[in-house]
Amino acid sequence: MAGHKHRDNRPPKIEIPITAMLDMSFQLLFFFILNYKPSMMEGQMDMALPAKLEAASKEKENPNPVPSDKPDDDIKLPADLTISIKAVRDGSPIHGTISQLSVRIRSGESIIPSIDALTDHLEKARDKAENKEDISIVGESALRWSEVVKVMDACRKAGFRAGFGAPPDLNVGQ
Amino acid sequence: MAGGGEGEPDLTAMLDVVMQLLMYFILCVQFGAEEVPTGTIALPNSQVAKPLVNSEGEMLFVNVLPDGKVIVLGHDPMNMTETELWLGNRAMDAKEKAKDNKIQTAIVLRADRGASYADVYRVLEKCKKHGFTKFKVRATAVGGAPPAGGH
Repeated sequence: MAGHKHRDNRPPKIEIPITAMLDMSFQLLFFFILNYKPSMMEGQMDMALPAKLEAASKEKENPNPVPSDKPDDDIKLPADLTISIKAVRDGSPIHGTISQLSVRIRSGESIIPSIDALTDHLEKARDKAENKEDISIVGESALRWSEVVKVMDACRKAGFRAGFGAPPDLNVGQ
Repeated sequence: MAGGGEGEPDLTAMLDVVMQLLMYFILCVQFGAEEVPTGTIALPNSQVAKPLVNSEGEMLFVNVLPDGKVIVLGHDPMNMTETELWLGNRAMDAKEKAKDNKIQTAIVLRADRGASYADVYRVLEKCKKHGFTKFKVRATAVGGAPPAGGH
């Protein structure tokens, strides 16, 4: 009927069945939306555990330990620098935040006023340190993990790779 | 006659939009993260956390809840004894997979920002005891310093 009216002025109109394709695309879209996790925001940091403190208990419970369980990226020298973090422990909303931050080097210990000053201090200390790779973080057991990560951030900015030491107020052997 | 009988909407523009969205989600999808129970862990923020790289070998996800319990996919929250048992089994699996009895599997630590240092340390110590030597810490990457620092 249309052809009768327009005669052959225009070429015949070709229609692709777009509805089916749209249906399929929606199916796929929902599948991917459901599987979507905004884990793009998630990042990762290297860390090392100093072997010193664990070594004793390890040998005790594991009579023949794997001889070479220290790959190259594991710790070689003990860290020169240790960051000690004391935590607020009074049950208040700020329970577990940092109350005192200090950096210990071989020659002595210095108190850092705030976490912002830590990176600068570490950068200076790094120039003098023999082991410029590793640093050890020792926190009190009540310390919040988010605070530890903040300190790790500061270490990373200063060029160190952070490792962890046993909390001084924790009986590790339990 | 002009607009009466054939009331077919033009779906082409819609299909275009859907395809755009589809492409975005296809490119963003990460099946590697499926080993992690969603929504249970609020990761701490970090300015220097590097974006994830896909080819990082075998990984074992260890999630630490604010109360110090460990949760992994397919298990209820585990206390320290159960965690140790689980880690022991995973360590055996990893050793069987490795050729020279060395565990190549990396522990990916995802601890809640409210977990205490002692809890996290205990978990790490157990991992270490079972022979795991590679550790990664996951955090939420927030703006600030450019990622993957030059030094």
